[in-house]
Amino acid sequence: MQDNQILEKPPEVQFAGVTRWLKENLFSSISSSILTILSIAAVVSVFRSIIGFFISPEREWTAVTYNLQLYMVQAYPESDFIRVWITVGLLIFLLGLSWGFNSLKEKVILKDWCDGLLKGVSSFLFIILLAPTNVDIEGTSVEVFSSNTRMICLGVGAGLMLVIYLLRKTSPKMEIVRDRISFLYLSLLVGSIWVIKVPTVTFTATNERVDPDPFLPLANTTTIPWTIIFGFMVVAYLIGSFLKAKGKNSMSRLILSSWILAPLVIVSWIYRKPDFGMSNILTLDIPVAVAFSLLGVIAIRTLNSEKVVPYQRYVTYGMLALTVVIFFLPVLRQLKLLFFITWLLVSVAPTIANSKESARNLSIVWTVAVFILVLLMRGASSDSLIIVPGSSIYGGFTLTWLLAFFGIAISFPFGVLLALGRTSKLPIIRIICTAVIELVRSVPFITWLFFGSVMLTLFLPKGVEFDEVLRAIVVTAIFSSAYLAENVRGGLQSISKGQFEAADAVGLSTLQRITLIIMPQALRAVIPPIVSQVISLFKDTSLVAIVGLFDLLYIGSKVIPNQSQGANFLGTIQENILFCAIFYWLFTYSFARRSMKIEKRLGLGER
Amino acid sequence: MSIIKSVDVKKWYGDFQALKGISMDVAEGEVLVIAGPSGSGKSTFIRCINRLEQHQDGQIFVDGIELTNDLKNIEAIRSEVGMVFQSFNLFPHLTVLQNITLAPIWVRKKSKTEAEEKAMELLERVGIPEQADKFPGQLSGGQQQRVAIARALAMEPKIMLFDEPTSALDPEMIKEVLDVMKELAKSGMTMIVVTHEMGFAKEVADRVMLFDDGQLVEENTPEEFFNNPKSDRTKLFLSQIL
Repeated sequence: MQDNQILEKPPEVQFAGVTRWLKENLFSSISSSILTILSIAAVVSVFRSIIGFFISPEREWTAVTYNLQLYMVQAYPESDFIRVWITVGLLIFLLGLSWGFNSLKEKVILKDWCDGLLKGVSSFLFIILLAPTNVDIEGTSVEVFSSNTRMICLGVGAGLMLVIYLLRKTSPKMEIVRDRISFLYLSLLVGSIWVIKVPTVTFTATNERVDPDPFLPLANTTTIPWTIIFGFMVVAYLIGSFLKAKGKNSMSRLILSSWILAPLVIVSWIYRKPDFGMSNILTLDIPVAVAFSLLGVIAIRTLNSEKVVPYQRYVTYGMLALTVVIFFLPVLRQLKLLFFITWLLVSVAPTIANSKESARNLSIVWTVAVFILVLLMRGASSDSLIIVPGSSIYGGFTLTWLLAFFGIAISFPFGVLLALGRTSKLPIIRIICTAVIELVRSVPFITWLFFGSVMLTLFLPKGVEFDEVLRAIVVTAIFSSAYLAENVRGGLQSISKGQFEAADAVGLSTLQRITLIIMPQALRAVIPPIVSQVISLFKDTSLVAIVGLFDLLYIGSKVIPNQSQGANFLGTIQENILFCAIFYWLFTYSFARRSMKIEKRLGLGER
Repeated sequence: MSIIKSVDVKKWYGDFQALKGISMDVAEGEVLVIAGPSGSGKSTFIRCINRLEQHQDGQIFVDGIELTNDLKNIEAIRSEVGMVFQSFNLFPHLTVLQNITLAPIWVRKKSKTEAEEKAMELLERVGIPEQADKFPGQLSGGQQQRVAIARALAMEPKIMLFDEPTSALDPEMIKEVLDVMKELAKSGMTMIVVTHEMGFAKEVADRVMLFDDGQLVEENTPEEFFNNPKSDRTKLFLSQIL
């Protein structure tokens, strides 16, 4: 409002010199000096022993590098690896697309970036400085880090710092798009798998160990796929940015629905190798899809014609009755599901498609959805041609990912519904939801896993059997939705009564009030606890080992340390557990960082 | 023809009787100011008119429809009656423009462009078009209250209810909100205003009412109310606040 105000800037803080800084921050009093010296000593000694542990010749890191494939896909047959790569490629393509489309093209000031880099390089130098020269192995001291290597590393680090410092000095105010920096890091990462050599080992047909010298580049077999995938990502990013620049805003809906569809496509088509059978598709699937899309389009049309409007609700009830009848008839499962979603369409069509334009849009969406659904169901219901030893084709990281992703994705809507149910005014719904939440929360996760794996079959009708992995996913999802419900309920309670009243006063219906006003605010308020829940769920997936599934940690802690045929890595438990720890940390930490950014962006409205 | 009519409305909170039989009516285009000490039931009464509170006895008719538990009636009445709250109650996760267009789009099924045009018109009217893309938390109290008025007006209501709209504002900001309300009154809107702003009552009101202890103590024209009150309670009230 006061435009003509004179803006006065705060005085710039001058850096007063190293001694002054040390005195003010580390040695301000006798007690603080003692504390500083003690903690520095502790940090140095702990770091030295940790680094020594990592670089000691006793460590058998080849146990990790040799078994990376086992870690990632366990027993998945090598001949079908292309399916795994297609999966990863599709996901990363989609990631690049939505990145390019949604990017805010944030700018980073060169000075800030350089400061971050300087911190990174100096912590690298810190590690180099602290690395011990010798380690004790059974009483004798062995040199592990020669002073020559140390000097070279220090020299390189110092040179790097000098370059960064000069860059910072010459053009501190320059702005760089953050995405470019991310791409720089990514290309460095991809480049590094071509260049960086790590200890590798191979085994001959007669179980003899061959240690190639010099080392081979990290994960030799994956360099080409990763490079191609990175290329795809850049292309997808450019496409996304281009579409955004063209103002194709309807693309955002397409990208979102691709994300929703992706996991289904991956599980029913790409993780598996469905035995399609073209005759089935031609004689059954295509006619069924055509029939149901026609049925839906006709329903949308007629339901909104003036003659039918008074009878809309009878049509809905009739369709519901038909769906129930069909459900108990011995027809294909596909048909049962299709009738069910047709009923959903019939019940929402009168409210959603009340104008000509929206009726046309709904018809298009319906037709596409029916075709995709029929194809997906064909993929999911036909046998998979991939046969692996053991109970399931999912193992290692593919299993961990599957459990975590679907556990979270399924528990989210259910958790929100449970929370709403628990706060509902309707007594029956409230009691049921409260009972479910309390029951699920008060029994340990492991017990539920046992329940799912051992006892669930007793409760199901004869002949109905679920895959072991599917049961684990269902149990994980139920367990996590109970916790999520309580988190969301906390968010619901933080919404003031005034918000409910204001929503009522402008005439919103109950559903609109919840979805437009209450939920967005409630979920925003509980992002931090939800993020911790997601992180802990990701780590808790390692508990499925108890019911005989081979997740990442189980492979690291039990499978590899017991390898004795061919690859012999008996007793290499420390290296493998450490690798697993770092792997989990990388994922959870990057997730936490990401969500902090999202939180900042969403918090914009509440300053 | 009265647009709001209440007959012997009673309301209890537990054992405490908040409304002890209020009967009144408001004509179309009339500006009614309700005054009274805190706890006298004036806020409860106007909140009964759009059923944010339920009355337990008596009848309320808004625009010819009786307020009952029938959800259809309640939603119909709520979209005809705009309400402005003491604590603004804007939606903090939506921008000013989204706050105003939300109900027209979802309840009145207007197209987005149409709703936004109307919203900008209203923001112009309350004098803050430049704040359209800000979030409520970035505005001052007076600006927030003006957005709240615009939000209520966007539904094109026949009646506007104001529940102590200026009580939570700094003295400097009270004027900007009152100016908007005065302009609204002059445009012929039917308004019920619960307020302590006696200056506003004197200048704009067609009628002034005094509530005390859940009862309607005095109903009068502003001139008579301030210069020549009928009841002793009004005299006492006026002597304390003027």
